[in-house]
Amino acid sequence: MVIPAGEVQAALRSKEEQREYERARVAEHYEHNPEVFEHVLDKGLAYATGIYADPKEDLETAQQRKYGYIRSLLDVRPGENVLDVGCGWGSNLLYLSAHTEGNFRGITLSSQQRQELLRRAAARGLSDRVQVDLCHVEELEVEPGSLDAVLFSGSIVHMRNRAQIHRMVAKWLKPGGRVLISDCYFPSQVRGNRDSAATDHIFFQTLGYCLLLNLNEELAMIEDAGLDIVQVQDLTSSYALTLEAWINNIRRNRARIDAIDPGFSAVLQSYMTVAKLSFSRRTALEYMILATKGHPRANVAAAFAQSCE
Amino acid sequence: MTNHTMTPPAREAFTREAMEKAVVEALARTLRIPESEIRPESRLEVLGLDSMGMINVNIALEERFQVALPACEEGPAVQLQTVQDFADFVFGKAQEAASW
Repeated sequence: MVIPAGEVQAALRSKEEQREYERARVAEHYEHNPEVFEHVLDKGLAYATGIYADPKEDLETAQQRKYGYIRSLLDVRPGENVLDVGCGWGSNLLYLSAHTEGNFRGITLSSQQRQELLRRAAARGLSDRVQVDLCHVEELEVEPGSLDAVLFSGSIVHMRNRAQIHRMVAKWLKPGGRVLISDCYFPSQVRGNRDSAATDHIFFQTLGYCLLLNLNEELAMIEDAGLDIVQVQDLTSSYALTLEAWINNIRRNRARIDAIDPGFSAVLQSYMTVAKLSFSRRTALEYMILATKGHPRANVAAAFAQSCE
Repeated sequence: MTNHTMTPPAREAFTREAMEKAVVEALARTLRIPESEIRPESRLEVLGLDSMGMINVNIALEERFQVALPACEEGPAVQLQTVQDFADFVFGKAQEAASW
Protein backbone atom coordinates (compact mmCIF):
# COMPACT_ATOMS: atom_id res chain seq x y z
CA MET A 1 0.00 0.00 0.00
CA VAL A 2 1.40 3.36 -1.05
CA ILE A 3 0.81 6.22 1.38
CA PRO A 4 1.49 9.83 0.32
CA ALA A 5 3.90 11.74 2.58
CA GLY A 6 1.14 14.15 3.65
CA GLU A 7 -1.00 11.23 4.81
CA VAL A 8 1.86 9.86 6.91
CA GLN A 9 1.99 13.25 8.68
CA ALA A 10 -1.78 13.21 9.12
CA ALA A 11 -1.56 9.80 10.80
CA LEU A 12 0.74 11.28 13.44
CA ARG A 13 -1.75 13.99 14.47
CA SER A 14 -4.31 13.55 17.22
CA LYS A 15 -7.96 13.65 16.13
CA GLU A 16 -8.26 17.22 17.43
CA GLU A 17 -5.05 18.33 15.71
CA GLN A 18 -6.27 16.85 12.43
CA ARG A 19 -9.62 18.63 12.78
CA GLU A 20 -7.85 21.96 13.30
CA TYR A 21 -5.52 21.20 10.40
CA GLU A 22 -8.50 20.59 8.11
CA ARG A 23 -10.26 23.71 9.39
CA ALA A 24 -7.26 25.91 8.55
CA ARG A 25 -5.82 24.27 5.45
CA VAL A 26 -8.90 23.07 3.58
CA ALA A 27 -10.56 26.47 3.96
CA GLU A 28 -7.64 28.25 2.25
CA HIS A 29 -8.54 27.03 -1.23
CA TYR A 30 -12.17 28.05 -0.83
CA GLU A 31 -11.36 31.44 0.64
CA HIS A 32 -10.28 32.69 -2.79
CA ASN A 33 -12.62 35.28 -4.24
CA PRO A 34 -15.88 33.59 -5.38
CA GLU A 35 -15.75 35.69 -8.55
CA VAL A 36 -12.81 33.56 -9.69
CA PHE A 37 -14.91 30.44 -9.44
CA GLU A 38 -17.73 32.16 -11.34
CA HIS A 39 -15.34 32.25 -14.30
CA VAL A 40 -14.57 28.52 -14.00
CA LEU A 41 -17.64 26.64 -12.77
CA ASP A 42 -21.29 26.51 -13.87
CA LYS A 43 -23.70 29.30 -12.90
CA GLY A 44 -24.75 27.41 -9.76
CA LEU A 45 -21.09 27.12 -8.68
CA ALA A 46 -21.02 23.35 -8.25
CA TYR A 47 -17.42 22.40 -7.43
CA ALA A 48 -18.07 18.70 -8.05
CA THR A 49 -18.76 16.50 -11.05
CA GLY A 50 -21.77 16.99 -13.28
CA ILE A 51 -23.53 14.09 -14.99
CA TYR A 52 -22.99 13.95 -18.74
CA ALA A 53 -25.40 11.88 -20.85
CA ASP A 54 -23.26 12.73 -23.88
CA PRO A 55 -19.67 14.03 -24.03
CA LYS A 56 -20.84 16.84 -26.34
CA GLU A 57 -23.11 18.33 -23.70
CA ASP A 58 -22.12 21.59 -22.05
CA LEU A 59 -21.24 22.05 -18.38
CA GLU A 60 -24.51 23.77 -17.48
CA THR A 61 -26.54 20.83 -18.84
CA ALA A 62 -24.41 18.30 -16.97
CA GLN A 63 -24.63 20.21 -13.67
CA GLN A 64 -28.37 20.78 -14.02
CA ARG A 65 -28.80 17.02 -14.50
CA LYS A 66 -26.76 16.41 -11.36
CA TYR A 67 -28.81 18.90 -9.30
CA GLY A 68 -32.01 17.26 -10.50
CA TYR A 69 -30.69 13.78 -9.83
CA ILE A 70 -29.60 14.65 -6.29
CA ARG A 71 -33.02 16.16 -5.71
CA SER A 72 -34.67 12.92 -6.91
CA LEU A 73 -32.45 10.70 -4.77
CA LEU A 74 -32.82 12.78 -1.60
CA ASP A 75 -36.59 13.00 -2.18
CA VAL A 76 -37.03 15.99 0.13
CA ARG A 77 -40.66 16.41 1.26
CA PRO A 78 -42.28 19.49 2.82
CA GLY A 79 -40.87 20.29 6.26
CA GLU A 80 -38.03 17.77 6.05
CA ASN A 81 -34.62 18.72 7.42
CA VAL A 82 -31.59 18.55 5.18
CA LEU A 83 -27.94 19.06 6.13
CA ASP A 84 -25.36 19.82 3.42
CA VAL A 85 -21.87 19.15 4.79
CA GLY A 86 -19.31 21.20 2.88
CA CYS A 87 -22.04 23.17 1.12
CA GLY A 88 -19.64 25.35 -0.86
CA TRP A 89 -21.26 28.41 -2.40
CA GLY A 90 -24.64 26.70 -2.15
CA SER A 91 -25.05 24.97 -5.50
CA ASN A 92 -27.14 22.07 -4.18
CA LEU A 93 -28.53 23.83 -1.13
CA LEU A 94 -30.05 26.66 -3.18
CA TYR A 95 -31.29 24.33 -5.92
CA LEU A 96 -32.98 22.08 -3.37
CA SER A 97 -34.46 24.99 -1.43
CA ALA A 98 -35.87 26.49 -4.64
CA HIS A 99 -37.35 23.18 -5.84
CA THR A 100 -38.63 21.58 -2.62
CA GLU A 101 -40.27 22.68 0.61
CA GLY A 102 -37.63 21.37 2.99
CA ASN A 103 -35.54 23.19 5.60
CA PHE A 104 -31.88 23.49 4.73
CA ARG A 105 -28.74 23.88 6.77
CA GLY A 106 -25.30 24.04 5.25
CA ILE A 107 -21.90 24.01 6.90
CA THR A 108 -18.62 25.16 5.40
CA LEU A 109 -15.12 25.96 6.65
CA SER A 110 -14.88 29.04 4.42
CA SER A 111 -16.31 32.41 5.45
CA GLN A 112 -16.17 33.54 1.80
CA GLN A 113 -18.36 30.61 0.81
CA ARG A 114 -20.80 31.30 3.63
CA GLN A 115 -21.11 34.99 2.67
CA GLU A 116 -21.57 34.18 -1.01
CA LEU A 117 -24.19 31.53 -0.23
CA LEU A 118 -26.13 33.94 1.99
CA ARG A 119 -25.92 36.62 -0.71
CA ARG A 120 -27.24 34.21 -3.33
CA ALA A 121 -30.00 32.99 -1.01
CA ALA A 122 -31.12 36.58 -0.38
CA ALA A 123 -31.08 37.39 -4.10
CA ARG A 124 -33.44 34.45 -4.71
CA GLY A 125 -35.73 35.15 -1.76
CA LEU A 126 -34.65 31.94 -0.01
CA SER A 127 -33.05 33.42 3.12
CA ASP A 128 -35.74 32.16 5.48
CA ARG A 129 -35.28 28.56 4.33
CA VAL A 130 -31.50 28.37 4.41
CA GLN A 131 -29.12 28.45 7.37
CA VAL A 132 -25.35 28.38 6.88
CA ASP A 133 -22.82 27.88 9.66
CA LEU A 134 -19.06 28.17 9.70
CA CYS A 135 -18.24 24.88 11.34
CA HIS A 136 -16.32 21.60 11.08
CA VAL A 137 -18.67 18.62 10.79
CA GLU A 138 -17.05 16.92 13.79
CA GLU A 139 -18.10 19.85 15.99
CA LEU A 140 -21.66 20.06 14.76
CA GLU A 141 -24.34 19.55 17.37
CA VAL A 142 -27.44 17.93 15.93
CA GLU A 143 -30.29 16.35 17.84
CA PRO A 144 -30.26 12.58 17.26
CA GLY A 145 -32.95 11.39 14.86
CA SER A 146 -33.72 14.90 13.59
CA LEU A 147 -32.47 14.87 9.99
CA ASP A 148 -34.12 13.47 6.88
CA ALA A 149 -31.19 13.80 4.50
CA VAL A 150 -27.46 14.54 4.63
CA LEU A 151 -25.45 15.51 1.57
CA PHE A 152 -21.67 15.45 1.01
CA SER A 153 -20.96 16.65 -2.53
CA GLY A 154 -17.25 16.90 -3.24
CA SER A 155 -16.53 17.44 0.45
CA ILE A 156 -15.96 14.17 2.32
CA VAL A 157 -12.60 13.80 0.54
CA HIS A 158 -11.33 16.62 2.81
CA MET A 159 -12.21 14.71 6.00
CA ARG A 160 -9.88 12.14 7.52
CA ASN A 161 -11.99 10.90 10.40
CA ARG A 162 -14.51 9.18 8.14
CA ALA A 163 -15.65 6.29 10.36
CA GLN A 164 -16.68 8.69 13.13
CA ILE A 165 -18.40 11.02 10.66
CA HIS A 166 -20.50 8.14 9.27
CA ARG A 167 -21.47 7.13 12.82
CA MET A 168 -22.48 10.73 13.60
CA VAL A 169 -24.58 10.94 10.43
CA ALA A 170 -26.26 7.61 11.24
CA LYS A 171 -27.17 8.96 14.68
CA TRP A 172 -28.55 12.23 13.29
CA LEU A 173 -30.78 10.60 10.67
CA LYS A 174 -34.39 9.64 11.26
CA PRO A 175 -35.44 6.12 10.25
CA GLY A 176 -35.77 6.26 6.46
CA GLY A 177 -33.25 9.13 6.28
CA ARG A 178 -30.87 9.35 3.33
CA VAL A 179 -27.20 10.15 2.99
CA LEU A 180 -25.69 10.96 -0.39
CA ILE A 181 -21.96 11.19 -1.08
CA SER A 182 -20.43 12.30 -4.38
CA ASP A 183 -16.63 12.15 -4.34
CA CYS A 184 -13.28 10.77 -5.49
CA TYR A 185 -11.80 7.35 -4.74
CA PHE A 186 -8.75 5.34 -5.65
CA PRO A 187 -9.25 1.98 -7.34
CA SER A 188 -8.40 -0.93 -5.00
CA GLN A 189 -5.88 -2.13 -7.53
CA VAL A 190 -3.07 0.43 -7.45
CA ARG A 191 -2.72 2.13 -10.83
CA GLY A 192 -0.38 5.01 -11.49
CA ASN A 193 1.92 6.63 -8.97
CA ARG A 194 -0.04 7.72 -5.90
CA ASP A 195 3.08 8.72 -4.05
CA SER A 196 4.17 11.21 -6.72
CA ALA A 197 5.16 14.79 -6.03
CA ALA A 198 2.06 15.79 -8.04
CA THR A 199 -0.28 13.86 -5.72
CA ASP A 200 1.35 15.29 -2.63
CA HIS A 201 1.25 18.82 -4.03
CA ILE A 202 -2.43 18.67 -4.95
CA PHE A 203 -3.70 16.80 -1.89
CA PHE A 204 -1.74 18.68 0.75
CA GLN A 205 -0.81 22.05 -0.81
CA THR A 206 -3.34 23.14 -3.42
CA LEU A 207 -6.38 21.61 -1.71
CA GLY A 208 -5.13 21.55 1.89
CA TYR A 209 -6.04 18.00 2.78
CA CYS A 210 -7.51 15.14 0.71
CA LEU A 211 -7.91 11.48 1.57
CA LEU A 212 -8.94 9.24 -1.31
CA LEU A 213 -10.11 5.89 0.07
CA ASN A 214 -10.96 2.82 -1.93
CA LEU A 215 -14.70 2.60 -2.54
CA ASN A 216 -14.91 -0.63 -0.53
CA GLU A 217 -13.40 1.11 2.52
CA GLU A 218 -15.98 3.91 2.42
CA LEU A 219 -18.85 1.48 1.90
CA ALA A 220 -17.66 -0.67 4.81
CA MET A 221 -17.55 2.35 7.13
CA ILE A 222 -21.05 3.43 6.06
CA GLU A 223 -22.35 -0.10 6.71
CA ASP A 224 -20.49 -0.36 10.01
CA ALA A 225 -22.28 2.83 11.10
CA GLY A 226 -25.57 0.96 10.65
CA LEU A 227 -26.62 2.46 7.33
CA ASP A 228 -27.65 0.44 4.26
CA ILE A 229 -26.13 1.05 0.83
CA VAL A 230 -28.90 1.64 -1.71
CA GLN A 231 -26.83 2.34 -4.79
CA VAL A 232 -23.41 3.30 -6.06
CA GLN A 233 -22.97 5.01 -9.39
CA ASP A 234 -19.73 5.46 -11.31
CA LEU A 235 -19.36 9.06 -12.52
CA THR A 236 -15.68 8.85 -13.45
CA SER A 237 -16.17 9.68 -17.15
CA SER A 238 -18.47 12.56 -16.24
CA TYR A 239 -15.85 13.97 -13.87
CA ALA A 240 -13.17 13.89 -16.57
CA LEU A 241 -15.55 15.85 -18.83
CA THR A 242 -16.43 18.27 -16.01
CA LEU A 243 -12.75 18.94 -15.37
CA GLU A 244 -12.15 19.48 -19.07
CA ALA A 245 -14.97 22.03 -19.17
CA TRP A 246 -13.53 23.84 -16.12
CA ILE A 247 -10.06 23.90 -17.72
CA ASN A 248 -11.49 25.33 -20.94
CA ASN A 249 -13.27 28.01 -18.91
CA ILE A 250 -9.94 28.89 -17.29
CA ARG A 251 -8.37 29.19 -20.75
CA ARG A 252 -11.16 31.48 -21.92
CA ASN A 253 -11.17 33.60 -18.77
CA ARG A 254 -7.50 33.53 -17.79
CA ALA A 255 -7.02 37.31 -17.98
CA ARG A 256 -10.18 37.95 -15.90
CA ILE A 257 -9.22 35.37 -13.27
CA ASP A 258 -5.68 36.66 -12.95
CA ALA A 259 -6.94 40.25 -12.70
CA ILE A 260 -8.91 39.21 -9.59
CA ASP A 261 -6.36 36.78 -8.15
CA PRO A 262 -2.95 36.95 -9.88
CA GLY A 263 -1.48 33.54 -10.67
CA PHE A 264 -4.53 31.57 -9.48
CA SER A 265 -5.57 30.51 -12.99
CA ALA A 266 -2.36 28.49 -13.28
CA VAL A 267 -2.85 26.91 -9.84
CA LEU A 268 -6.36 25.80 -10.79
CA GLN A 269 -5.44 24.65 -14.28
CA SER A 270 -2.48 22.67 -12.99
CA TYR A 271 -4.35 20.60 -10.41
CA MET A 272 -7.41 20.20 -12.63
CA THR A 273 -5.24 18.90 -15.48
CA VAL A 274 -3.63 16.28 -13.24
CA ALA A 275 -7.10 15.32 -12.02
CA LYS A 276 -8.54 15.17 -15.54
CA LEU A 277 -5.74 12.87 -16.69
CA SER A 278 -6.22 10.68 -13.58
CA PHE A 279 -9.97 10.30 -14.09
CA SER A 280 -9.52 9.81 -17.86
CA ARG A 281 -7.07 6.96 -17.18
CA ARG A 282 -9.16 5.67 -14.25
CA THR A 283 -6.22 5.93 -11.89
CA ALA A 284 -8.76 7.82 -9.77
CA LEU A 285 -12.50 7.16 -9.74
CA GLU A 286 -15.59 9.22 -9.01
CA TYR A 287 -18.62 7.67 -7.33
CA MET A 288 -21.99 8.74 -6.03
CA ILE A 289 -23.15 6.70 -3.07
CA LEU A 290 -26.68 6.63 -1.65
CA ALA A 291 -27.35 5.00 1.71
CA THR A 292 -30.33 4.96 4.04
CA LYS A 293 -31.13 4.36 7.65
CA GLY A 294 -33.46 1.38 7.45
CA HIS A 295 -35.90 0.99 4.60
CA PRO A 296 -35.08 3.12 1.56
CA ARG A 297 -37.94 5.46 0.78
CA ALA A 298 -36.67 7.02 -2.39
CA ASN A 299 -37.59 5.26 -5.58
CA VAL A 300 -34.04 5.02 -6.80
CA ALA A 301 -34.83 3.26 -10.06
CA ALA A 302 -37.30 6.00 -11.01
CA ALA A 303 -34.80 8.70 -10.08
CA PHE A 304 -32.16 7.08 -12.23
CA ALA A 305 -34.54 6.77 -15.20
CA GLN A 306 -35.53 10.40 -14.79
CA SER A 307 -31.89 11.49 -14.79
CA CYS A 308 -31.34 9.71 -18.09
CA GLU A 309 -34.22 11.42 -19.88
CA MET B 1 -20.41 39.51 -10.86
CA THR B 2 -18.11 42.45 -11.36
CA ASN B 3 -17.53 43.23 -14.99
CA HIS B 4 -13.79 43.14 -15.44
CA THR B 5 -13.29 45.00 -18.65
CA MET B 6 -9.72 44.64 -19.63
CA THR B 7 -7.45 44.10 -22.52
CA PRO B 8 -5.60 40.81 -22.43
CA PRO B 9 -1.81 41.07 -22.62
CA ALA B 10 -0.51 41.27 -26.16
CA ARG B 11 -0.15 37.83 -27.67
CA GLU B 12 3.40 36.92 -28.54
CA ALA B 13 3.84 35.90 -32.17
CA PHE B 14 4.64 32.23 -32.69
CA THR B 15 7.77 31.48 -34.48
CA ARG B 16 9.72 28.29 -34.01
CA GLU B 17 12.52 30.34 -32.46
CA ALA B 18 10.20 32.17 -30.06
CA MET B 19 8.67 28.85 -29.02
CA GLU B 20 12.02 27.27 -28.24
CA LYS B 21 13.02 30.33 -26.21
CA ALA B 22 9.71 30.18 -24.33
CA VAL B 23 10.12 26.44 -23.67
CA VAL B 24 13.59 27.00 -22.25
CA GLU B 25 12.38 29.87 -20.03
CA ALA B 26 9.39 27.87 -18.79
CA LEU B 27 11.56 24.81 -18.11
CA ALA B 28 14.07 26.92 -16.20
CA ARG B 29 11.34 28.47 -14.06
CA THR B 30 9.55 25.19 -13.41
CA LEU B 31 12.70 23.19 -12.69
CA ARG B 32 14.42 26.09 -10.89
CA ILE B 33 17.61 25.78 -12.90
CA PRO B 34 19.51 28.43 -14.92
CA GLU B 35 18.52 28.77 -18.58
CA SER B 36 22.18 28.32 -19.48
CA GLU B 37 21.93 24.69 -18.34
CA ILE B 38 19.20 23.92 -20.86
CA ARG B 39 20.34 23.10 -24.39
CA PRO B 40 18.14 22.15 -27.36
CA GLU B 41 19.54 18.62 -27.17
CA SER B 42 19.07 18.34 -23.35
CA ARG B 43 16.94 15.33 -22.43
CA LEU B 44 13.79 16.28 -20.49
CA GLU B 45 14.12 13.30 -18.19
CA VAL B 46 17.70 14.19 -17.32
CA LEU B 47 16.63 17.78 -16.60
CA GLY B 48 14.17 16.31 -14.08
CA LEU B 49 10.89 17.11 -15.85
CA ASP B 50 8.07 14.96 -14.45
CA SER B 51 4.40 14.88 -15.46
CA MET B 52 3.49 17.75 -13.10
CA GLY B 53 6.38 19.81 -14.46
CA MET B 54 5.23 19.11 -18.01
CA ILE B 55 1.75 20.36 -17.16
CA ASN B 56 3.13 23.53 -15.57
CA VAL B 57 5.42 24.25 -18.52
CA ASN B 58 2.44 23.72 -20.79
CA ILE B 59 0.34 26.21 -18.82
CA ALA B 60 3.16 28.78 -18.97
CA LEU B 61 3.20 28.41 -22.78
CA GLU B 62 -0.59 28.69 -22.98
CA GLU B 63 -0.43 31.90 -20.96
CA ARG B 64 2.35 33.34 -23.05
CA PHE B 65 1.00 32.52 -26.50
CA GLN B 66 -2.71 32.60 -25.58
CA VAL B 67 -3.45 29.24 -27.13
CA ALA B 68 -5.01 26.05 -25.82
CA LEU B 69 -2.58 23.17 -25.93
CA PRO B 70 -4.53 20.23 -24.48
CA ALA B 71 -2.58 17.72 -26.58
CA CYS B 72 0.60 18.78 -24.80
CA GLU B 73 -0.67 17.91 -21.32
CA GLU B 74 0.47 14.35 -21.80
CA GLY B 75 3.86 15.28 -23.18
CA PRO B 76 5.83 12.28 -21.87
CA ALA B 77 3.23 9.92 -23.33
CA VAL B 78 4.01 11.16 -26.84
CA GLN B 79 7.68 10.31 -26.48
CA LEU B 80 9.16 13.77 -26.28
CA GLN B 81 12.76 13.21 -25.36
CA THR B 82 14.62 16.48 -25.77
CA VAL B 83 13.97 20.20 -25.38
CA GLN B 84 14.02 20.45 -29.17
CA ASP B 85 11.41 17.67 -29.50
CA PHE B 86 9.24 19.50 -27.01
CA ALA B 87 9.57 22.85 -28.80
CA ASP B 88 8.79 21.20 -32.16
CA PHE B 89 5.75 19.42 -30.76
CA VAL B 90 4.35 22.48 -29.00
CA PHE B 91 5.06 24.69 -32.02
CA GLY B 92 3.11 22.29 -34.23
CA LYS B 93 0.18 22.14 -31.81
CA ALA B 94 0.19 25.91 -31.28
CA GLN B 95 -0.08 26.45 -35.01
CA GLU B 96 -3.03 24.06 -35.18
CA ALA B 97 -4.77 25.49 -32.13
CA ALA B 98 -7.42 28.12 -32.36
CA SER B 99 -6.69 31.22 -30.36
CA TRP B 100 -8.77 31.56 -27.17
